[in-house]
Amino acid sequence: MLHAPIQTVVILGLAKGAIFALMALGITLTYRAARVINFAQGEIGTTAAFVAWWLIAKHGQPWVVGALLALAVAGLIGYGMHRFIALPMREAPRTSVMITTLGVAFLLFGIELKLFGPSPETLPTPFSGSSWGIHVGSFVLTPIYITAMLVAGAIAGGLALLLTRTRFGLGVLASAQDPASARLLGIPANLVSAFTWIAAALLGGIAGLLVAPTQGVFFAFQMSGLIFFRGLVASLIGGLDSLPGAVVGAIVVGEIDSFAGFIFNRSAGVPELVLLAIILVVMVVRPAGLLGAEVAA
Amino acid sequence: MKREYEAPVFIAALAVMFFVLGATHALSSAQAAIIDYAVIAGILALSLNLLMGYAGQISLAQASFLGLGSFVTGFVVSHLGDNHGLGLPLSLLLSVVIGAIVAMVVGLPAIRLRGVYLAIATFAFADAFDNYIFNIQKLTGLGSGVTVGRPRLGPWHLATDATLLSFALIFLAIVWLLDTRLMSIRHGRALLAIREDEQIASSFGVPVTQEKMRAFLMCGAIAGLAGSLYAYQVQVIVKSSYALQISLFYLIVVVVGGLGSRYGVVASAALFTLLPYWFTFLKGWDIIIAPALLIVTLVRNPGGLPDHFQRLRDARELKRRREGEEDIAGLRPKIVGIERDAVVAPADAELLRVESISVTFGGLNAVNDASLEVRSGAAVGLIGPNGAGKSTLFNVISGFEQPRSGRVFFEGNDITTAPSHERAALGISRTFQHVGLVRRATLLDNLMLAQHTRLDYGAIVGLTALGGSRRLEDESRANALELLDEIGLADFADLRVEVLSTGQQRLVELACAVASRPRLVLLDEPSAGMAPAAAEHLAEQLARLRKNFSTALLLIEHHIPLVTAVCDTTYVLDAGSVIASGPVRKVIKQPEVVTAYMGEAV
Repeated sequence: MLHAPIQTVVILGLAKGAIFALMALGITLTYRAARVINFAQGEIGTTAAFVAWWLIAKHGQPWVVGALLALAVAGLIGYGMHRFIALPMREAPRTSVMITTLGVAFLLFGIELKLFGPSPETLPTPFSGSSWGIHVGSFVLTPIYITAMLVAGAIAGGLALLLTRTRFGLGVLASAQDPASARLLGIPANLVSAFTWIAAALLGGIAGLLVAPTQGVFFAFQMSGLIFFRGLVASLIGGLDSLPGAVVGAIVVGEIDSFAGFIFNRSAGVPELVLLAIILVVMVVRPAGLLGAEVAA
Repeated sequence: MKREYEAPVFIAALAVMFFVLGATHALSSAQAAIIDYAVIAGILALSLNLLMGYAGQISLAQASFLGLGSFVTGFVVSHLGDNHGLGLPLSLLLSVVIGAIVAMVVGLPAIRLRGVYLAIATFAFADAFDNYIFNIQKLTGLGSGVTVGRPRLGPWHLATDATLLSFALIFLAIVWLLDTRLMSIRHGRALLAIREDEQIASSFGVPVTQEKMRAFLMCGAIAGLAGSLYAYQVQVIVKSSYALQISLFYLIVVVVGGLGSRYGVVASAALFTLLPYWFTFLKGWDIIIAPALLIVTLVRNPGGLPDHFQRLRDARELKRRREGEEDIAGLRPKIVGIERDAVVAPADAELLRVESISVTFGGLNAVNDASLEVRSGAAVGLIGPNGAGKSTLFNVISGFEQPRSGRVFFEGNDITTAPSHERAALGISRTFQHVGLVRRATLLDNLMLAQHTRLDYGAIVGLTALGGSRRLEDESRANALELLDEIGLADFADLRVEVLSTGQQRLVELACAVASRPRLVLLDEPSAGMAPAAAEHLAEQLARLRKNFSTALLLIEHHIPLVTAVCDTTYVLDAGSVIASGPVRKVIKQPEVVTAYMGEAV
């Protein structure tokens, strides 16, 4: 039985879905361009949360400053992955590249532990002190959730415009299908790769910054399990290579997470079980997902 | 002493040594415990190496298998107790069995998918284990964990850390030995083929799904064993020891040690366990150093270090052994030079009949109502312009493509729906337009792989070297070497295929195609990529091959003189349809055939 009014559950699901969408968009973008899952994307989110926490909570910097510097770090990591991994491994087997991104995830985890320690920390919300919120049934939709939805919506929209309305964006989309055609459009492959990895890292970073305040506490490796995994399922539902599919998938996963959380108790791990089942069904029945192209044989 | 026993015997000797050191108190309890963790990490590394290094599958759920072994052991101990010394063997057995079963379930998506998808699926399993299974209070005791006492083995109480260490070392020796055996029997070679290319594997007659599941089974069994040993060592098992991070850490450690190398992965796992204990300043740095090493290694050598060094060594050896020889491509290979006892075949009986086959790719008719027949011992050509559907028809015959309609009969039996590896076993072998060999395996391994279906011993028999499996292996090796000798490449038997020239690879492929004594060989453009000098001899080789192995040939070829020299009759395929058939010289003069090749005359 639901422990909350249905509209509460649905709206919370949407808010979660918005954050998962950020992750899923990054995953899909990378997969399109490089045929690789960037397993470090979630941990870039945790790293961003740590950097923001260090600046905001420990050194009293304004939220905006902390967030921007955290995103700068995320972007830098993304650039590093492009420059030192994706570029030299252009011709390498995709599984090797994927395992290398797992290495990056773990490296970030190790660095977080070394620099910030294993104990859970609290990243304040940018709206601390305000008790404002939108009441949905018994549930108060706090500003951080509203921000998450707005930011995710704005980014998804902006990304869609960039990719479909600009020459550069079309080049990025084209290069996923055929690197040569992107060159014909005058977009160098290097630039596309750099854009992809930096954008994915920034999306991971933004998701991390939005999720950390909603969780009460955050800790090293948390985002890899919590939001990266859900973003991955979302992207898979969408077909791994479809950007609209990733957003639809994220909303589906957000709602599943929300409903499973309210029907069963969160701690029981039921959402994870449901997501696992979904993954298996998608893989067996339709690996191309909802909106993806046919999986290459 | 046979080489495969060297390492296991050394490990067993270590077990004796640590036992004595422990009994005389020369080895402190704390030290013994740390070394035991290193040994268990080594066993876990072998389990992951089997799956990733040999079979090329990926698992992000290794710590889940480990945890399963531990908690099954905890469950047995806390519910059944010691039970007159039965608790230990029972818990070990159950951990192994349940680990194997669960790993097979986790591996199920691998039947259809690999790479990225398999990574996602195993990641999801690890997450579900972490959040659901290991959150079951009765199984894991949650925060407080489960207490596992020190076990009893028959009359002996394995109370000290040193005895447990010796116990674990014995298991490491056994796993190591089985692992070595695996890679010398047909099931191990099958894994190498699957790692490289599943289609090639099944063209060799390897039942891909079954072998992949076996790899997951063995991987889970070994990991379950490690989990059980770990439970007895650590005594209080808590779920945080089996989190997703731990899976990733072991994966990283194994890749750094070198996938495919037993010594590498065990040493890496042991060192990353021991060093942070011995050198406390390393604590916390190990989880930074390991991934950093992984990144550096893979960026420079995406196949891993053992792969890199092996390739270098083989290229060097190839050069060294060729010194003083004339250009190898110019060598006259004498495939089929030796008279063989011909397989008795009913003369001129129907062997292959393809009836009205149609194949469509997304609305496009690749093959359209094509029929053909090959009689036993015959040599039949299949010619036609590019894109006529020749290779697609081959794929239908060898089982890589399902036709939309039509039937395929082999020796009178309908094989339209039979999987490709079964067709290989029936006696249909094939070559590919792009060389269909396991490039990262040796020539010898490739030729033995080609005899996969003729070596019909089971995995248990092979692993234990019982039931004449060694004799079968020896025969198959002798046959392989003989064939290699016939194509003039016996000197390179222990080198990897990838260091050979394309022409040489084509020869190896031909040798593989006949190694299983097939009734029918499908040759897809055998002259492609060959040096002109070698291609010239091809007709002669194919003719002798056909005679000496009394096998029928179906030959796709653009080089018409080769078809004329080898084949009696030919079919002409154009735009998916058979437009002509009959004796080669007649057929190629027919106006519609000329038109198909040259275009409409103006």
